[in-house]
Amino acid sequence: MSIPKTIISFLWAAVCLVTVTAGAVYAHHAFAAEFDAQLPIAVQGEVTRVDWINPHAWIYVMDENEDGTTQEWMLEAGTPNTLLRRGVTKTILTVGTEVQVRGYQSKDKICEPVCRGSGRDITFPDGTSLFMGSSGTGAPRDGTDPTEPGR
Amino acid sequence: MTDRTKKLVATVGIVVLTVLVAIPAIAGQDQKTSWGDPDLRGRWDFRSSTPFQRPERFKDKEFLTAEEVAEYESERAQTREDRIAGVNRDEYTESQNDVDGGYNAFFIDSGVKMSGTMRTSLIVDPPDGQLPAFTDSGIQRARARYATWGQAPATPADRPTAVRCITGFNSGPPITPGAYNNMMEVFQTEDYVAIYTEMVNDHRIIPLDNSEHLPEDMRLWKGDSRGRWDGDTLVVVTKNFNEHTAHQMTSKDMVLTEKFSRTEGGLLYEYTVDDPSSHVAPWSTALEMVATEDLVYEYACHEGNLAMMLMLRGARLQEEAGGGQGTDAQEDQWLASWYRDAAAAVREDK
Repeated sequence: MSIPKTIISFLWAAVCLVTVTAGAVYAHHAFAAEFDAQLPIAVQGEVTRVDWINPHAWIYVMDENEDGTTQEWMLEAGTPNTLLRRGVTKTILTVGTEVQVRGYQSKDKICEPVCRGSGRDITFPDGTSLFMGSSGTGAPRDGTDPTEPGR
Repeated sequence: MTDRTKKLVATVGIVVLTVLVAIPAIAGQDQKTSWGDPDLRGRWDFRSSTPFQRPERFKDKEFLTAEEVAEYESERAQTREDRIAGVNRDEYTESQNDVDGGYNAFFIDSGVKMSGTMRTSLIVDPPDGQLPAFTDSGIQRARARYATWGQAPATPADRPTAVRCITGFNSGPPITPGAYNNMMEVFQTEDYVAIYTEMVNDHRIIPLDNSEHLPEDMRLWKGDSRGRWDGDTLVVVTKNFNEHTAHQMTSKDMVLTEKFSRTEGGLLYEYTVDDPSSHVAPWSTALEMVATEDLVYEYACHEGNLAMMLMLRGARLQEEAGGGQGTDAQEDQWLASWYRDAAAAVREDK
């Protein structure tokens, strides 16, 4: 597991613009109440399990450490309702899929039976995002595409 | 045909008829029900990028032109595209802001389009688009709530009701656009209107019989709603909230008046908050919901709320490490970053 060290604020500025311009887009909970900003994580390995549960989906990944040992992580994602609307189903995010996940470890730091963290960014090893793509291929249904159903 | 068979056929017939009457296929197909009331039935999408309060850039401007709306929506779309495209994806701020906003942009479904009202804010009254000032008791209440949410929780009761999955952060009442699950479905008979929101599977069954509200001492998480028709507008008055009601820091004595009226292809949703103990004047908002063919999915929030377990365990770990003495940087991260400005505005030293 490697820990990125560079500190910048551009991403957060983008998040702020999204949230502030919407007049405060509250989420179910603030991740900082659950995860530790001082414990950023980078997990890489195969998906071992996905819990499609409310209020947040959890993706399990077997991380391969530099010393050859492994450590399983369960990583908190967004609401499964949004995933379903994006077309991401059990047949797309399957066990065995290789992913890189970056986020933050839980405040309790407990790793039994598995470590827990937030899944801020989920990408394939080649750098493409698991969730990137244009409308109809899993991109956000945001009302800008006139071919979207129901808009 | 036996009596038993006749009863069975009659029962099935009534059920089928009820379903056909109560649930149309798509919102917005008809303006009137078969019994003559305005038809609000169907599924409605209430995502909106219209700011809740009017931002500085739109000062003294109540409405936008079509071109200005397009420009605003384009900015919103670009911001999100940049984030989805992974602008600086490899970098971390290692701050509370980054953790709180730690959703992959893919999971945020707050929409890009502004409300069809073409207003510069959801707040339409006061005319400046700003929330009225807090009263002294409103400030005290807000200060106490932020203080509770800003410290390690001793029990789940110390977290906001949305975190506890008791109420939804956008399902109301009143209904407000949020980060995701911005879906409402309306069912309707001559005597009742039922409002079902995707967030936390919330539902309200609202009688239209001019009945009295519950006695003052009966307090409910979502209040007690009663409705009536005023011309083509459904007016729903909700009272009897409990002390945990916190829509913009309102109190249990909030009287909420919602209005639902059909527009061309949409549903105008207006609400007025009257709570003299919180704000110095009543205030109102307006939002046009959009008819949608999208389905409303289950959102059984409490079912798998592992977040609460992790929060409580993190709090206990912090205590064991000697937290609570103002020495641990984590102590300052319990209040969600999106509440920080509001909390700062009601601090004692303000």
